[in-house]
Parts: sequence; structure tokens; C-alpha cells
Amino acid sequence: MISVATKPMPYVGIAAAVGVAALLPWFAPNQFYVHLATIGCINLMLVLGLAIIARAGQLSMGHGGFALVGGYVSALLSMKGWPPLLTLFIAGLVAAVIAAGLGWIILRLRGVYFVLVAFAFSQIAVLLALDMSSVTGGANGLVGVPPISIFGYVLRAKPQFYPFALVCALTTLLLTWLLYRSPLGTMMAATAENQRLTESSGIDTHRVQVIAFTIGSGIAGFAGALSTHYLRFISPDSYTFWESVSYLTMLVVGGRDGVLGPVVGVLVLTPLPELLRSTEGLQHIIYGAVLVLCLMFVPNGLASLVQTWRSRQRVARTSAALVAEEVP
Amino acid sequence: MSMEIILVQTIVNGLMVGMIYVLMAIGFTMVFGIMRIVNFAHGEFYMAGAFLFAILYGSNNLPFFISVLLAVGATALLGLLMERIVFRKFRGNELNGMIASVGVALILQNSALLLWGSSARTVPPVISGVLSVGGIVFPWSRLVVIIGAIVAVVSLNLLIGHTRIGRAMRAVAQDAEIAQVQGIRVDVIFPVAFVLGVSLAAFAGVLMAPVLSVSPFIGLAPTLKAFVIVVIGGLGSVPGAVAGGLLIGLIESFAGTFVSASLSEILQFLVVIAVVLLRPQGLLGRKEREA
Amino acid sequence: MSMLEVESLKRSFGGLVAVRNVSFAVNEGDFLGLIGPNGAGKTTLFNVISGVLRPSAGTVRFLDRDISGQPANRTVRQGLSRTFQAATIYPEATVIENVARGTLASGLTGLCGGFFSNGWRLAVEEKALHVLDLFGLTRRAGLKARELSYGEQRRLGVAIALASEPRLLMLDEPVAGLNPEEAAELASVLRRVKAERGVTMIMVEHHMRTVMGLCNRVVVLDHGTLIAQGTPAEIVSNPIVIEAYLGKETVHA
Repeated sequence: MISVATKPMPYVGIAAAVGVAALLPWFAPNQFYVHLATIGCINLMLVLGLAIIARAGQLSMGHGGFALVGGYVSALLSMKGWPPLLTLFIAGLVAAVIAAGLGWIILRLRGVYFVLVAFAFSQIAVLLALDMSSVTGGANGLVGVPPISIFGYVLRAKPQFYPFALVCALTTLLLTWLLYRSPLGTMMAATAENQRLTESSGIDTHRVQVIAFTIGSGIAGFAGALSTHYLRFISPDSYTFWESVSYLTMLVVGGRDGVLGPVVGVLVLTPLPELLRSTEGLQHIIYGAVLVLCLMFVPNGLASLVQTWRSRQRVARTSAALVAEEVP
Repeated sequence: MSMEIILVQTIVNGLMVGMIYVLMAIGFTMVFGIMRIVNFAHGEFYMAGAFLFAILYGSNNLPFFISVLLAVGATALLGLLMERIVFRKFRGNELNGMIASVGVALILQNSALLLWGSSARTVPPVISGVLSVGGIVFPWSRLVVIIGAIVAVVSLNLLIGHTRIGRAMRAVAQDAEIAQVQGIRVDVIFPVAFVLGVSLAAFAGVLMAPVLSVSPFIGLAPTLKAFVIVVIGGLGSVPGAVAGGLLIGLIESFAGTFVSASLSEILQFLVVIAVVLLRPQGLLGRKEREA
Repeated sequence: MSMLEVESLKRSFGGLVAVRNVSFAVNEGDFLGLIGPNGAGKTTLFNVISGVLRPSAGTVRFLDRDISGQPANRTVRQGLSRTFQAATIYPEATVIENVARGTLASGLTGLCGGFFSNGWRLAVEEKALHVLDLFGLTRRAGLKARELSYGEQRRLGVAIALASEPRLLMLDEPVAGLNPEEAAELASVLRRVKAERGVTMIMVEHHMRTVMGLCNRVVVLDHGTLIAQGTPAEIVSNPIVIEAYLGKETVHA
């Protein structure tokens, strides 16, 4: 009864969307669109990571910090000769381990403290990248990060990299969807909605939140590494506080409830910086305004508009059924 | 330079920076304590205060006190506007309020960028010369910051401790619902507290403008410091903000002089983690009722 | 052997002692009423037993295991579940999802299971439907919990607690704020739960008639101290109890 009705419609829609995304390099007017789509895939992974954390009722203002850590880990290891395909996963793992340690300490606290400490962590990550210049290249960052190669096939140019980014993003999307449907995902949603009640249903909510934070930050580490091998470059400026904020904006604008929200948020907001590239200040103002307006008028995000419509239909059906039952 | 002079300089610098952090943290903690909003835009009001002062005093040569008054007053007005338009909608909703404040921070910072450009401005010193006590010299430019901040903290304390509005604010901080039942007009207290907090931030910006340079990007660092301090001192605790601010200011000054600036940041982060582990309610914070 | 043994339990907040030196036991199959005037420390005692608060001194033993100060979630997995005073539900989830969430800890899937199959969900929903049936909420299964009436929300709160399949269920003022009709309905549900599931229960309650109608034993608390215990009949005629109540308010009888 609570499981989504398995009508063929959504599957047709999903297949069509994936098809369009996969065929993009063939009909895109120029390489720039492919670049934009690649950035969109990376953003989607980062936003999904943030969404998983939010699913358990927490907010990470330090999401970019984990992407930064992942980017540096993968860049440094691959520059030492490790295969980038392997270092991507190591990057995700390192970010996840840091998140697990940090989360275990700070997630016992009320939400606000968690946000503050996670935020402080991302600042420390930037500082460390700046400070350990003998390893990280300081403010100049690391240039010439090796490209990813799959069985000898090197993903050097944009049309070659994009399919790989798309596969990574779609896999993350699928895994997130599976997670949300699993008992762990149910526990996460329950924790977010009423932590005390979930705790007294026998669920260790602290552990659930640490796991969510670990998974979400691990995805951020992987995505940060992916982006680093795409751009072949990373610096402390790659993931500042404002990057963390833009992922948050995408999540809030799209919606925090399901996996559709992040997709919508990324689709709406990824092109914006590129369209407004000439006036960087204006772009940020629009981001800020969109964020505030969305919170005021569509607090559950654009994707929730679809859900509201659906549940209105459901209520109509249920009450119709009840009325029918009551009438002798 | 002799060790003695370096030491005194370090302490004076630490106290100066510390007092600025105290001003930032008090405003931040007040807004949280009363409105339950973590204000990520807090530092942008510091930036606005500093910028307005730089324009009024530095570029237009208005008299010092008038410049201070206008800069703080205009920022307070901006704060009132933000409270009316945005923040009041989110009071009590910690998560969304926090996200909305990030949006406000984005808007304010980049509006400053569009209006005034990204290059840093310097403000001529308000006062020059040194105070010499027993052979040790204190630069007046820094003492002014310390004195100004102390005056602000003391007057705030008097306001909170000895006036009707102060009592009402404390009542609301303790429990807004009960305060309302007791006839306190909560809808008046919220903007008052917010504007007070913003004014403190603006005043901190004004004080620091002649010491540091002014640009649209100077707001984030003091916001981060305010966070760190309230976590150390206890969220919602004013004495905690004072103690935490001075502690962080001194750590920063000493570590910056004798080791390195980034090490001092990392050290502060470790202090935060240690406090969180050992005394989660903060050094001077009240333990929240468990039930 | 008693199921729950509370021994010399004490809990203070700062200088204020809310519960002092309380000892009593609950036997399997009991329906124990915990009563006392306002501010007697009933809810604090309740919170200490269920693991929401740590005791300042003393022990709580459940099924021969010391559970004092242990986190609430573990206590629940050992078979001691509780409800809260306010209607504690998941307002945005459907009614059946509310109860399904209550069953998660007792499921066999654990944290990592059920990732690829939907089988766990069917099992959980079937369990939840049984509970809903017991509480007369089957027809509401598809509604959002916040769409229920207040009385139904309170019943749902008890249903969620029961979904974790406890051996001991602790109810914190289950009928407070309900109208007489709703209160009677909840009482009959509790009686049915007791009969069908054989769950041992403890109930904190202000409403004397509900206590006298449901409980086989009553414990009376005043100023944090246990002043009397016995059968409902013994309690209503106990002069100490009458004194404690008359000192503050009249007995709702």
C-alpha cells in the first residue's frame, strides 16, 4: 500500500530521460554543452550525497570540504603513478573514513552544532591545502592531474569523459534510490521526522546519522576526485564554502524528499553560473534569492509540486472510497 | 625587538582581535538564543558596517562619530529589513532558517561586490601615536578598538540586565511561549534582538576597518570565528561568548606570532572538537534539560 | 521472577530531587498503574526506567539484566517499549508507514539487509497491518498520520510502540487530553492488546477511573517517594493516598 504503484509510465519517462542524456554528445550544438552536462553529472553526485545526509535529518555545510579531500587524495595518488580508476574509489573511501570519525564525535550533538563543526572542518581542509604547499602545491594547486583510463582507453577529451561521468552519476542515483527503499533508508527518514520516537522504536539514531553522513561524504569525495580528473586540476579554491552552498541550494530548490529533487535542482541550477559567467556577483545574488524564495514559498522544493499533486489525487480517491463505504 | 615588546604586542593584538570576536559572537549567540536562528549572514553585517564606515569616514571625510553612527545605523536598518522580509518567517525552524541565512549572506556579499567592486580599501587611522606605560608602548589605534568593544559589551550588559526590554529578551530566550503567555510582546522582541545583534556586528566592522583593509569578502572569516566561539563558549551564553572570544583571539595572536597562522586555525578546530567531546554544552553554557 | 525490578532508584536535576529511593517490581502479566499528584515524579521515573534519562543512583533490572542508564534504543530491542505523553507520531508519513517504522528494530533485516529486494517491506507491512487491526485503524492505513483525529493519533502512538513487539509496554498518560468516548475506546484497545498479545504493561495515569478499570496493581508516588502500593481497591481506601491527593486536588473518581 505504501510502495509506489508500479505503473509502466515512470519507467518509460526514466528510460527516455536516460536516453536523451546518453545521446547528448551527438546532438549537442557544440562541446560546451557536453562540458555543462559533465559538470551536471558531477553536481548531481555531490547533491545526492548531501541529500542522503539530509534524509537522516542533518545538514552538511562542509560538503565541499569532503570533495576537496577526495580531489587531493586522488590527484596525489594518481600523480604518483596509481591508476586513476582506483584512486577515485580510494578518494571516496578516505572522505568516508574522515566523515565517520568526525560524525561519530559531533553527531551526538544537536543539529546546529553539527552544522557549525562540519562547516569549520571544510575551512580547515582549505587551510591545510593552502598550508602544506610542499605536498599540495599551496594556492597554485596541482596542475597536470592524469586523466582517467579504462583498460588503456584514456578519457582525455570532453566527449570521452562525459559517458563515464554519466554512468557514475546514474549509478549513484540508482544506489541512492535503493538506499531510500531499504530498511536503513526508512530508518533515516524516520530519524529525520521524529528522532525521539525512532530512538524509542529501538533504532540507534546516532548510528543511522553517522552512516548517512559517512555515505554522503564518501560520495562527495568520489565526485570531487572525478571532477579533478576531468579538469586535470585541483586547488584550494576548487571547493570553497560557496561551492558547499551551491550544492545546498540545488538540493533545497529541487527538493529534499526523494531522488527526483536533486535531479531537478541540478538541472535547473547547473546552467545558471555558465549563463551569467560575465557577472559573477549577479550569479551569486540570483542563487541567494532563489534559495530564500524557494524556502519561503516552496519549502519542499520544485519536485514536491509533483508529489503534492499526486497525494491530492490519492486523498480524493481515499475520501471517495470512504464516502462510498459509508453510504448504505 | 626585545622579547618583552613582542609579548606585549602579541597580547594587545590578541585582546583586540578577541574583543572583535566577542562582539561578533555575542550578536550571533543572541540571535540564536532568542530567535533560534543560526545566522550565516552575521559576518555580512560586519562587512556592511566596515564598508559604510570606509566610505563615510575614509572617502567622504565625515567626522568620526557621525560616521560611526551612520554606518551602524544604516546596517541596523538593513538588519531590520532582513528580519522583516526573511528571518521572521523562519524563527524556530532551525534548519530552514540556517539555509535562508546562507541565501541572505550570498545576496549581501555579492551586492557589495556589484556596488563597490572587489578591490580592498584602506581607511586612515582614527588615531595615531602610542601610549607609553613604564617603557612599554601600546599603539592607540589598537587600544581604541579594545576600548570601543569593551564599551559596547558593557552597555549591552546593562541593557540586558537592567532594562525592561532586556528582561523581556531574557525571558524570550528561556522560553518564547511562556514569555508570550506572561504578556511579553514576542513579535517586538525578535526584531529588537536581531537588530541589536546586527548592530554589534556592524560596530565590530567599524572598529576593525582602520586596522585591516575592507573588501566584500571580509565577512565570512568572522562568521566562522563566531561559530567556533559559541561552540566553545556555549550556544546562547553571553559570558561564554566573551570568554570564548578572548580565548580564540589570544590563541590566534600567539600562534600567529610564534608558530603559523594556519596552525592556529587547526589548533582552534581541535579545541572545538575537544570541547564538543568533553563538555558539549560549552565551557560556560547551561546544560540543556534532558527531559 | 519479576519482569522488571526497580531498586532504590534516585534521580535529581541539579539540587532538585525528582525521584528518591523508589523500589518496586512488576511481574509478568501485570498491568501496573503508576499514579500520584502533579509533580510527584511519575514522568521522571518513567523516563529513567525507559532509558531516556540516566538514574542518579539505584538500578533498573529488566528480565534479569541491568538496564540502568543504557540508551533507550537498546532497551527497546530487549523488549521494553514506551509511549510519550504528547501524540508522538510521524506526521508526514502514512499511518501504516508509522507502524512499519515501529517494527524495524525487531526485523531480521538489520541495517544492511533489504537493499535489493522488496520482500522485507511486504513482511513489515503485514506485521503493521496486524497491529493496525488490533487498534481499529485499518481503514486509516493510507492516510497521513497528521490527517487523523487527535484520539486516533494517540492510539497510533501506542500502536507504534507495540509494533516493536515489546514484552513490557510503558504508557505515559495514554488518555490525557482525550474525551470520555475516546478514552473508553483506548481502554478497550489496551484490554484487547493485553488479552491477545499477553503484553505486560505499566501506565502512568492521572485519570483514576482508567487506572482502576485497567490495572491489577497500583503504585503511588508523592514528592518523588513511593508512598503506597497494592490492588486498586486497597489504594482507594488507603488514608495516606487520600491525604496526598486531598492535600493538592480531588481524586477523579
